Amino acid sequence: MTPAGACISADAISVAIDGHSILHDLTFRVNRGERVIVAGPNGAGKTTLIKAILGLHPLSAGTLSVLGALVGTREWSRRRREVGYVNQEAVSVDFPYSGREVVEIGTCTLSLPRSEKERRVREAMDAIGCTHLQRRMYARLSGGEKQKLSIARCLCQDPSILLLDEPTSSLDPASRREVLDILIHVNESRALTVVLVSHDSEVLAEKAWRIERMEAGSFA
Amino acid sequence: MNILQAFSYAPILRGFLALVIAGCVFPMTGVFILRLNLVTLRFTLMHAALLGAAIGLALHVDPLLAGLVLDLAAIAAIARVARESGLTLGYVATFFMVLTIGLAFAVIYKAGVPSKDAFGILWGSVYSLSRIDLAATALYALAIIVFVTALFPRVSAVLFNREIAFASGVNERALTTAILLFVGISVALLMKLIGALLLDSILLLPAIVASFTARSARGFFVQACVVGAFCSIAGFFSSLALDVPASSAVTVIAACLLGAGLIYRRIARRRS
Repeated sequence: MTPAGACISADAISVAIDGHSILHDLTFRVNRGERVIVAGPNGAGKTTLIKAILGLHPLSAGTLSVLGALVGTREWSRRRREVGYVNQEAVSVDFPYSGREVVEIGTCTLSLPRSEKERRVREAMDAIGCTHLQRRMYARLSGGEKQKLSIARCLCQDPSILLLDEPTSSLDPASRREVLDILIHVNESRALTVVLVSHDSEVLAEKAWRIERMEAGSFA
Repeated sequence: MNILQAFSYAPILRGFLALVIAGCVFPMTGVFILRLNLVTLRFTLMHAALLGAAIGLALHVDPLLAGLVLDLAAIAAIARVARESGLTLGYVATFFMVLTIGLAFAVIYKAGVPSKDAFGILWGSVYSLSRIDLAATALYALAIIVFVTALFPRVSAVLFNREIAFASGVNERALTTAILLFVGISVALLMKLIGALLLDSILLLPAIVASFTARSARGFFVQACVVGAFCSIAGFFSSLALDVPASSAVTVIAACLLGAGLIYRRIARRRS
C-alpha cells in the first residue's frame, strides 16, 4: 500500500536489465501535488526509475506502488493511464502525424463520447498554448513544440501524475523556460504531481522544485 | 476480345474483383510495415511460406495452407522472441528469415520435394483464384477495415510509440501482435494473388507514395488505399489492353507512381 499522502512509493526497489543491476535498493516517495526533479548524471538510473514506475521494467526486488496500486497488478493496469508520460526521444520522425493526432493519443483508451474527447483535446491544447500546432506535421516541429504537444497529450488522459524523461534536454533556454513554466502551471492549477528527470544543470538550478539526486542506481 | 467480353469469363472477373479489393485495402498493412520497420519481416514471411509449402508437399497437404500456417507460426515466434529478448522486430525477423530458408532447402532436399512445386507458392496468378479464394480475400479485407477504423486511436498510439501507447492504457502487446498477424496474412494472400516477387506493388509501394503526400496519420492510411486502388484498377485494364500479366502491369504502374511521388517530394521540399 502507498503511505498516506504518497502517490508514488518505492521501497527498496532493485531493477536489473540483461543481468546488469541498474537500480539497487532504492527508496523514493513523492506526495500528491508535489513537483520533483530527479537529477543525476547519464547512467545514474533516472530513466530506469521512470520506466519502473510506468511498469515498463519489472522489479527484481522491493515494492513499488503508484496511486495506491502495486505496479504490475491488475488494479494498477486499470489505473496506469492516470500516469502521463513524456519520453526522452523525439518520437515518430518521418511519419505524418498531425499535432492534433498526437494529442488525441491521450484520449485513445477513454470511454467517453467522441464530442467529449474532442473537447478534452481542445482544452488541453488551449491550456498548453499549442492550438496553433494542431494541423502542423509533428515531424517538422521544433523540440519545444513537440514537448508542448506531449504535455497536452498527457493532460487529455486527465492524469494524477506526470512523468517526464529529460523533457528539456534538446531545448534552447527560452523553450526550456517555457516548458518548465507550463509544468509549474499544470502542477498548481490541476494539483498534478510532476516528476521530471534531468541532467540539465539549468533545470537543476530551479528553486520551485524538490530536487533528488541519483547516482549509480540509488539516491545520493 | 473487348473488356466487357473479358468480364464474362468468371476467372477474369474474380481476378479483377480480388485485385481491386486487395488494392483498396491491403496498403493499410503496408503502412504498418513502413511504420514498424517490418520490411525484413515481409521477406521472412515469404521464406516461411516456402518452408510451409515444402513441408506441405512432403506431407501431401495443400502447400498454400501449409505456407499460411508457417507464416502465422513465424509471426507468433518473432513477436515472442522480440518481446523476451528486447531486440527489435527487424533483428528477430532477420534471424527467422535465414532460419526458415535454410530449413526450407533442407526439407526440399531430404523429403525429395520437387523444388519447382515448392517454389510455385512464390508465383501467384489473379486468374487462378477460386470463389473461396475471392470470398476469403473479401472477408479478410473487411477484417482489416474494421480493425483499423474501429481501433484507429489505439492503433495510431501503437504506431506512434509503443511505450507511450502502453502508458496511455493501450494493450500494446496484443495490438502489435494483431498488426503482425495482419501483415502476415496480407503477405500470404498476396503471394497467391500476384506472387511473392511482386506483392510490394500492392502492399508497400502505395504506402510509400502516400508517405510523400500525407499530412496526417489518417490521411496516410486513406491515401495509401487510394493509390493502391488506382494501381490495381489501372494495372488490370492495362494488362488487358497491352496483353501483359496483370501483376506486371500493376507493378509498373505502382513504380511509375513512386517515381512521380519522388519528384513531387523533391519539388515540395525545394518550395518549403
